[in-house]
Order: sequence, then C-alpha cells, then structure tokens
Amino acid sequence: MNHLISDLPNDLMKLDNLGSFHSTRLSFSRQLINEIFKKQWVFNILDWKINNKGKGSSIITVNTHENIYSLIVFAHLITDEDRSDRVIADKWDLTFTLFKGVPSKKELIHLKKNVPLQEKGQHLNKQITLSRANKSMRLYKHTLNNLAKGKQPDFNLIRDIGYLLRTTAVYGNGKFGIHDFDIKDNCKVLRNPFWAEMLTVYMLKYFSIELINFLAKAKGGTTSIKLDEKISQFIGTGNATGLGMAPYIINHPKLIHTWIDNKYKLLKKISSKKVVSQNRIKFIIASLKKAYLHICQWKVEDTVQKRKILKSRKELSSIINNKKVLSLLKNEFPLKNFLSYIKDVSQETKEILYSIFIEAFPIMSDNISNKMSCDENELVNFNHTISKLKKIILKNYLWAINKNNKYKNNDHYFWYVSETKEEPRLGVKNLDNGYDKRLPLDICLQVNKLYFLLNKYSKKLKISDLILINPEMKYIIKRILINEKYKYSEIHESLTHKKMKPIDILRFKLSFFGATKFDPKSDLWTRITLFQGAPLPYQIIKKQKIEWFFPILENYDSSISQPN
Amino acid sequence: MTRVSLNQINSEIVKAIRGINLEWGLAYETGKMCVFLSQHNIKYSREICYLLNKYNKINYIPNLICKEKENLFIAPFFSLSLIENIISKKCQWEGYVFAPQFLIAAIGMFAKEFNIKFSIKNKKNILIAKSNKSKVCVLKRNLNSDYYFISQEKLCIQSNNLSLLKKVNEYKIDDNDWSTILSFGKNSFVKDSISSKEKGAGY
Repeated sequence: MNHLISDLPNDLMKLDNLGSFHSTRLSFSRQLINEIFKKQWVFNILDWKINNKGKGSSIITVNTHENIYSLIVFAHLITDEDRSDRVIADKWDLTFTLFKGVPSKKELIHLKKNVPLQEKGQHLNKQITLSRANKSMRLYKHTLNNLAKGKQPDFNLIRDIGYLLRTTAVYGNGKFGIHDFDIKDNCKVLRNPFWAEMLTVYMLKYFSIELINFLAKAKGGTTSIKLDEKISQFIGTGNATGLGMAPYIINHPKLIHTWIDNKYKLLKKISSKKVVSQNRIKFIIASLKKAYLHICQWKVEDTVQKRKILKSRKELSSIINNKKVLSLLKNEFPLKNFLSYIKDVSQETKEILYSIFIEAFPIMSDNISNKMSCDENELVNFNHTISKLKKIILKNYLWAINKNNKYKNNDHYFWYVSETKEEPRLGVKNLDNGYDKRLPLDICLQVNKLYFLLNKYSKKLKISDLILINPEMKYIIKRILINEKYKYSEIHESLTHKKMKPIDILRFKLSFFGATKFDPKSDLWTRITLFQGAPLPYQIIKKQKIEWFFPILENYDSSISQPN
Repeated sequence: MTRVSLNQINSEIVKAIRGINLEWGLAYETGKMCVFLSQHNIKYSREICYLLNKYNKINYIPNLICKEKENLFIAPFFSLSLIENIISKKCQWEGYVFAPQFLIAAIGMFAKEFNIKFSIKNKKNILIAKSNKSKVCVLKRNLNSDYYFISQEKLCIQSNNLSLLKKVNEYKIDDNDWSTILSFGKNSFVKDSISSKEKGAGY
C-alpha cells in the first residue's frame, strides 16, 4: 500500500483539502468530450434567427447516433444595470434549454414564451436542462470590436478572462418540471451524473464562438475576421457559482463518496505501480511543464487563492528543474518514490500532481469513469440497539463529537433558503432572522446532540423505538446508519463553524465538473471556466486528437490585422 | 391537472411539510413516499393538503397505538417509521389508518430495498396489498381511511385478485392541491431583508 496518498476520511474530507481539488480525467466535462470524440457526435446549427444586434433565437442540434438533442437559445438585449450573476436576477443576456429531440413548432412557441422566464416558467418534460448566461462584458465587447475591425482580441484579455459567456445557473434533474434524471435511462446523457448539464455548457461554448463571429461580420462587413481557431478552442464557458452547491454535497452523501472513492482508489493503484513505461514518464514530465504554464496563466484577485497559486508555481518550477526528483521517475516504483520525495508540497500542488497521474493512465481512468453514479434511494434497517449506534458514531463521527466542537464558534452560522427565488444563504445565529427555518446542514451539531441524548436511554433500546420518542432525530440517525458503508460521505468539519468557507465546498464539486481557473470572488461565490481548451465540433469531426487538460493559451500578436 | 416532475413532487412536498414545522427526517420520507405514489399513479395530494391544513394549527405527535377511530395513524408522515418498527420487532401491526395508500408506498419501498415481503389486510381480513422483491400488488388503488393489519410474511402470498403496480411516465397533480402544497412550502423560506440579501452568493 502506498501511504503517501492519504485516503483516510479524516485527512481527505477536510474542507481545506477538498478546496484544493483540480479537475481530472474523471471529471464529467472530460468524460463527455471523450465520449463525443469516441462516438463522433455530430453538431449542427439547425436554425439561426439572431439579428445584427444579437437578439433572436437559435437551435443547435447534436446527433449522438442514439438520440438527437437540441440546444434552443434565446438571445435578449438587456442593460448593463440589469446584468447580475445572482440567482435573484430576472434578466439575462441569454436563456436556453437542452431539449430531447428537435422541438415541433408548437413546442418551440411554448419554449419561446417560457424559457426566458426561467424558474417562473412552465417547462416541458422534454427539456433536460434549463439555463441562462450573461456576457463577460469586458471580453465580449472587446472581441466583437476587434474582430469587426479585422483584429484578433488582445492576448492578455483572452488569457485572463477566457470566456465570452458565463452561465449563472444550469438546472437539471426535474427542476421546475423539466426531465427527471434517471440512473437507469438507456441514454448516457441522461443517466450519467451532470452529463446533460455539461453538454449544455459545451454547446454554449460552441454557440458563443458562432455568435461573436456572426456579430463581428454584421458589424464590420468585409473588414471583419473570424476568431482564430486556437483562440476559439481556448475560449471556454464561464460560470458563476454560489451557495446552492453546498446543500447538494450534504444531500447526496453516497454520490459524493462514490466520486472520491473512485478518484483515490485509482490514485493508489497508479502510484503503487512498480514499472511505468518511458512514454508515460515522458508524458508526466511534459505535463508537469504544461501544468506550470497553466497556473502561470491563472490570475485571481482573491488573496488566499493568489497565495496558493504563487506557492504552487514555485513548487512546480522547483520540481521541473530538479534533476534528482525527475530521475526518480526512471526507477522502480517511480510515482511512489517521486511522491515520497516531494511529500511536503502544498495541497494545491499535490492535487495538480494527482491530476497528472490520472491523465497519464487513460485506460485505467476511463474504466472508472462510468462508475461515477449510484442509486441514492436508500432505506436502513433499524433493527439495531442504541449501543450499536453509539459505536458507529464513535467510529465515524469522532470529528463531530470532539469536545472542541461544543464551543460557540461551531454554531456561528446557519444555512437557510430566502423567499426570493429560493436563494440559499448563510446567516449568523443570534444576528439574522430564520434560525428556526435552517437547513439540516449542521451535521456536526446534530451528531453531538444525538450522542449526548443517547446517554439518557438504555443501551438495549432499539433505534426504531428511540425514533418514536424522538422523531426529530430520525434524519441524523438515518444518515449515520446509511453512511456507515460510505467512508467519504461526510465532510469532517462543521459547516456552521465561524471559520468555515463555503468556497471550499464549491471548488470540490466544481472540480468534478472539470472546472478550471477557480476565481473566488468572496467566501460565498466563485467564477470558474468549463471546457477551456476543449476541441470544437468541427475539430472533433476531423478526428483531431486534442489534449486539453491544463489548457494554455499560446502567445500571439493581436496587433496585426488579418485578412478575412 | 398540473404536470409535474418527480423532483418537483419530492422537493415541494418536503418544503410544504417543513412549512408546518414537521421534522426534516419525516419531511424527507413523506416526499419520497409521494414520489413512489406518483410513479405508480396513486392519488395522494388531497390527503397531504388536509394534513397540511390540520397540522399547521396543531403539533403532530407520532403515535402507533391507533385502535380508536378518533386516533388515526397518520400514514403520510410515519409509514416508513412504522414499517421499520415492524421489521425491528418482527411483529404485526393493526389500527385505524389515515391515507392508507402511504402504507403501500412504504411496503413497496422496503420491498425494493431489502426484499422483505409484507401484506396489508383490511378489517374483513381481505388481502388488499402485498409486496415481494421489488413488486407491489394491490386490490385497488384508492383506499379509504379504515382499520388495517400489516404484517411481515415469510412466504410469498398467492392471490389472483391483486394487480401489479406499474410505473407511469407522466405525473399529474390536482391544480388546487398543487397550489396549496406550493403555498405551504413558502413557509419554509426566510423573508428577505436588506442585510439578508448580502448573505447570499454575489457578495
């Protein structure tokens, strides 16, 4: 066993650790593109009714050779004042939906009326996702103006922002009446977690390039040029993510366990390999350099993240320039020895290395990628005594019943849902209203309360009887019993502690989506990029194999005007 | 009738139950049982709305001793707990039940998960539902509040009178009931204020 990659839940499930995760080949956006490439899905712009000002609608279809899906986009003209990334916004530059099949005329009329209303609309069962996006105004206007004048956009702006459009919500799984997620569905897009959402975001990347080229031509006429192919490929889809992801992580413990368990089992397998081929070693060394360049292009304003990035840059640079450490890769147990030598690097760097290792063994990781979902409908057998329940708590929740957790800082925040568009928020106990309506995300406090309550009853009392007397404990008891089988199902920290940063929870989940360039805007929300560097449909059809993990924008001179 | 998704049924029922301050654990279970009933085209919304209105004013206290008509077992809130109790104690249960279709949901969910066989009989000792593996068979879909017996069975009960519950693809709910459920759900949200606006993402 390789002890260098800790798979102990008490190490792994700490927020600081989870908040350092990077995307890997197991991430859903990566899996999706692999599938698109392997099965040669065909994308087609079926309808383009967008006027020269950028208002109108468009239908882009994708044929997976099993099904056809359509992305129906409605483009709106809104003022800068109306543009907001928050859930409580009610106007967006674009509203869109991923649809099963191609909509009929009647369905299209319905969609045109309801998709722009988002949460307030009446949605059809054939809609798989419901989403909206705003323009990244700085980059969007600049790119449009430059292309219209026959110039490529400024290198620094493309590198630093990296997307033209930014989604502010991508709803799936039956939300607001759309199609329910079903793990048993025959179709991969519908049964694999977050594939439908990722397909929506990928198709928006494609749409954003088509839109900017179309508008540049409308504006600049014969002077205009198209966005360079390499820049187009580099452009991703931005996303602004807030607190809504935290309840998801707590409400899907078995799924979260599945993701982490798969990742770390794979890492252990890879890192304990006795022999690794020279080709793989070369790939790993090249990837270290690529990762270094990638994080050199990762710009943020957040001081904590900035510090982490700078440290990681230094650490990666020192690994790349250390001949001794690289020579370890040529011996037996290369990855184990390599990790052993650099064991003191930061968590941010470790996670980058883990992503590289996973990338270096594509067959192993692709075999796991179809095991990232699970049936979450679980019931428990309550034929246990209190004594057994206490034992489970002491085994799995020692972190929660630790004496320190009784201090008031552990009960500082509470999570709630506001009445305005059901936006999840974080309140301060004894200061903000709504404590009585808090969400049950205070697992640590609930376990504590239960543990001390159990002392009041006979050890032989059945749990089913305890619940009759204390129905308020049912949620936490059931959770403890179900999670006994899933060691990575709980975050081993209080989510109501004064020092808790929701941003760590968000980053953890977003890494499994395949997000890059995490750009925290506060402790409560972050911007990220998806599909940056991912091949575009016309590159996929040419069967151009494109490596796009840790994407880098190659330097170019944007000052030179180009002929159309 | 309003067309709804399973996700909507689950989440809106949970919110509505939380809107009358019932415990989270029970709210989640009611939501899941409603999903089961919707999947099998069994109506339940009227009973849920009745309970929302009733327990909005008084506290719900779980009770398994329901031998009197005035003291009904509230199946929508506590059926899964009852089944857990029966499994745990290996006993039979009998009593007056409000919304017995939720007993069917509960035995169906347990049958699927643990392959435990259950039978539900009415006061005339007529078998009205049974579960075996992931299958549930019923005598009829609409059951009235009445006296019922539930027991765990070792062997599969043979009965030709019962019909297999099959899943449907579209889920509909009475318009008025749905709006009642949505309005109770709003009670689970916290009213907006200028300071609370700053507690969300975006700040």
